[in-house]
Amino acid sequence: MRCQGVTKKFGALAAVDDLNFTVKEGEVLGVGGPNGAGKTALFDAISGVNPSTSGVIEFDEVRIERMPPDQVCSIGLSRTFQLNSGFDSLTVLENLMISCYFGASKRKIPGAFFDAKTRDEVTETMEFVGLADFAHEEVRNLPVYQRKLLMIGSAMSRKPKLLMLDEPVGGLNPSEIDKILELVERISARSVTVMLIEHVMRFLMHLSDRVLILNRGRRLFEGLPSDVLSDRNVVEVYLGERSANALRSQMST
Amino acid sequence: METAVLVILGGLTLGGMYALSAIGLSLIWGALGMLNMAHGALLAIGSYACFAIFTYLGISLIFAVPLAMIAGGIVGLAIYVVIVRHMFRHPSFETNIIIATIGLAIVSENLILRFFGAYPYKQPLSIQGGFRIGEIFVPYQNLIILACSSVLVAIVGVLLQNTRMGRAIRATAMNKDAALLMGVPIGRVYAQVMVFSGCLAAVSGIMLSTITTLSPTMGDSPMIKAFIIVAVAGLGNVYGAFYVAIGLGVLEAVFQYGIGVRFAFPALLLLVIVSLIWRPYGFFGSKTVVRN
Amino acid sequence: MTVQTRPTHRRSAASPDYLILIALLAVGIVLPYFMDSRYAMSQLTLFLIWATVVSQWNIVMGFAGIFSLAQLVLFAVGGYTAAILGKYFGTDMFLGTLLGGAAAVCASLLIGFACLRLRGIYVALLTFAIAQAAFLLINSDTNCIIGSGQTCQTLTGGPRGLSQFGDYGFRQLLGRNYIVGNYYVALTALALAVTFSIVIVRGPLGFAFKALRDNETVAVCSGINRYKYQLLVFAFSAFFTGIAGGVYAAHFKVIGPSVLGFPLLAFLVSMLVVGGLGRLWGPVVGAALLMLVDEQLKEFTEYRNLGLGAIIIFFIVLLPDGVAGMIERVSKKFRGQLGEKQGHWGRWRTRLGMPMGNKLHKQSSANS
Repeated sequence: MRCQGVTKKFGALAAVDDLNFTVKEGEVLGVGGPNGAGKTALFDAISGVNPSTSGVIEFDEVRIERMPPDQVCSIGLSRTFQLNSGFDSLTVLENLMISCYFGASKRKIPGAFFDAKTRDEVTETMEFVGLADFAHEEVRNLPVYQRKLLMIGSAMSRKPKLLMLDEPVGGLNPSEIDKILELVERISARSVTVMLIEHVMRFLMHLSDRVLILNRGRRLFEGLPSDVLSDRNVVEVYLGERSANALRSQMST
Repeated sequence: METAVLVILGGLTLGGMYALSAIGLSLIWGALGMLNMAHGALLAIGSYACFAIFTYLGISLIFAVPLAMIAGGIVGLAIYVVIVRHMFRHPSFETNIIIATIGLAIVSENLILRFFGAYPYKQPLSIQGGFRIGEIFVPYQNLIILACSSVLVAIVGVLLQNTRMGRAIRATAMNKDAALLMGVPIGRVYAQVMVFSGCLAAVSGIMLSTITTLSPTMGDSPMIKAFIIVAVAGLGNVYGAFYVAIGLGVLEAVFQYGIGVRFAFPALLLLVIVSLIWRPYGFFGSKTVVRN
Repeated sequence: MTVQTRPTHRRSAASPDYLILIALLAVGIVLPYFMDSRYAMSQLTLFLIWATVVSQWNIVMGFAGIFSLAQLVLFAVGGYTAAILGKYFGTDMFLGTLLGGAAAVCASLLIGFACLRLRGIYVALLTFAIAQAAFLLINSDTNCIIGSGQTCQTLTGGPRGLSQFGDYGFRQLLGRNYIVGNYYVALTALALAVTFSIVIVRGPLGFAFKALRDNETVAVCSGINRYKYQLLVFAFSAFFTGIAGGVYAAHFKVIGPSVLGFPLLAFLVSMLVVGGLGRLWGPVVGAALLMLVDEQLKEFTEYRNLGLGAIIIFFIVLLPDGVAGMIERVSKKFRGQLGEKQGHWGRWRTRLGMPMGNKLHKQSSANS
């Protein structure tokens, strides 16, 4: 995927300001930056939820910057949300069924029943992310960790080429973070390209092949995760000296 | 030339009437996010109230009109107490209230029919006479309608812009939940808006009935026009509604002259639909999400 | 862990509805043998017609989230198409009814294309305006297409409506009992319409609409195109609504602009609300109740509309789920004893950090 000159303006404020970058096939690109840096606005622009003001977004040689979200989804680009969003009144199973049935392929006219293929794939997805025990739980009753799993599971059941995760571990405890980390690694191993936003730097640095740090809608840093901590700008604007040191010692162990 | 003046004059009168019907509706829609299907009934109630106070109680028109307004306000309050109060927290308030007000419209239409019958009474408050521009006779009544609608729009505009109540109403209109968190007593705002729009509807109804006659269903057709106007103008924009009302009035007069009375309304509707597809937020509307 | 998703999902959700349908259909089929009053048969036929219309309206409004007030326009399009074809071209009424359904589909696509890009409240007011425009157009129809003056016949018959366009021809076949023929035609229409409803509500589309209602952004990002699927459901339901219009015309041998009037709208809306908007069986229950009440209050016709208005307000304010919702809540309470325990059990297990077994949490998905 290639983004060129992508800009998203809310009135006079540019949440995303003339951004250029590429996501290579198969890699994991981590996106970081302070609050209000335009990370989620960028995701919204790419996924068509809140289209960009100007600029070109290309995915597999197809221009997608003006595509409605359902179409973006059907060409293989699928995302999760920062908030714990699912279909609250439905069960985990039903959530995944919907995602798989409508998201995995472009449907002209839906049938009368969910087909066997969808059911098999959903069963597989539930095993894959570890939600099998919660199949019949209504989403509104799910604990946070399982909700995060559900979002990733839903996104995976759409069979994406590019998976966009918006803060997949926000609000989780360290052991849960580790489990998600391992899950994303397994996803990446399935040769799905991953783009993820995260504030938990340990998570971001560990998973990413490359890191993109944004500030005020512009690129502050782009490069290898190992170079992030030595970048003066990033440490100054985003991380702060102390947490950078802490991270350095963590990374070295 | 003369036909042109005639058409435009007719259009302005229509526009004034539409603006009158649209003001109260626009206010309710903007502030409460509710489509009041009983607005036509409110128009009818106001004009029957004025008629009854003058004819049966023999009270002078100077007092009859304010009394009718009070009656309209009371009906508005009653709608709030009996219906809206129980519903506005419900997740599907927007749609359920449409159904509820359909019920209300049926009830009030039939009540009027019970009490007054279907006889087409004349509204006592009407000014005879007029003046001439060349060959064309301009009744004073038409001018009064136009003037009255502009005055009412101005009053509503000032109230919304410059008073505490107006600020509360606008805050509620922008974001119900946020307003609630900021300590705006939403229930009271809703009640105020209902009373206010009841008063407005009463005046509008009285003015409308001066150039037609009274009937239990007299409000239905103006209400539909008002719906369209409010939709084209955009969510709850009172000034916008006024301009659109005048514009559509003139347009309808032109259509009536051009393609006949029968097709004027359908043609207008078609135009409105096309324009709404083109500008789904309306022409003066704020950007509330209307489309996906 | 074993995942017993396959059998539970499909069977438990769908089959009770089909069983109810079959049971009701059986009752419907044998009912005429116990009826000897022609009036009662005629009223039953009318019930079937209204139940068809309301069931489709419910799908559109209660499930697909299209606040359409133009459902009766589609009904009228179906009825008028059958009547006009019968009158001017001598078309057989069976064929005319089917063509009426097709014409209603065309009309729904036009209306849908114009309105469904907008949402909620805008759809309501535009469809209401369209219904009014249609009413005015028919009511003011004075262009003679045959004859003039005394013999003038307008295309739609104007305010008097159309008559003498034929019927299903059961009079020759069944003699005095011809109404039974109409009854079975109406029953077939209702059965097809309800089958369609079940398919929509319990199938993928029903879930898609639930998803849209729960969280539109996520739904759209899951590949659900609201506009497309709404248009689809609107068109399909228009077909059955149009068919009902054709059956109405053939049964009463007359159709007029009153089908677009406020009283009928009120009558059908009250069926919807009393039965329960957004409940699969609500419309059938509501239509039956309202027809019964209407029958009882026949002596008080001048209060009929007043009463309908009051019923609508009463139900939408106090019982927005209608009778069907009430029945559901009562039956849930019976099951609730168990459900309550499961809830505590589940919470207890979470607190201990134990996984929740799915056997304990088999929430029936028939929650609409």
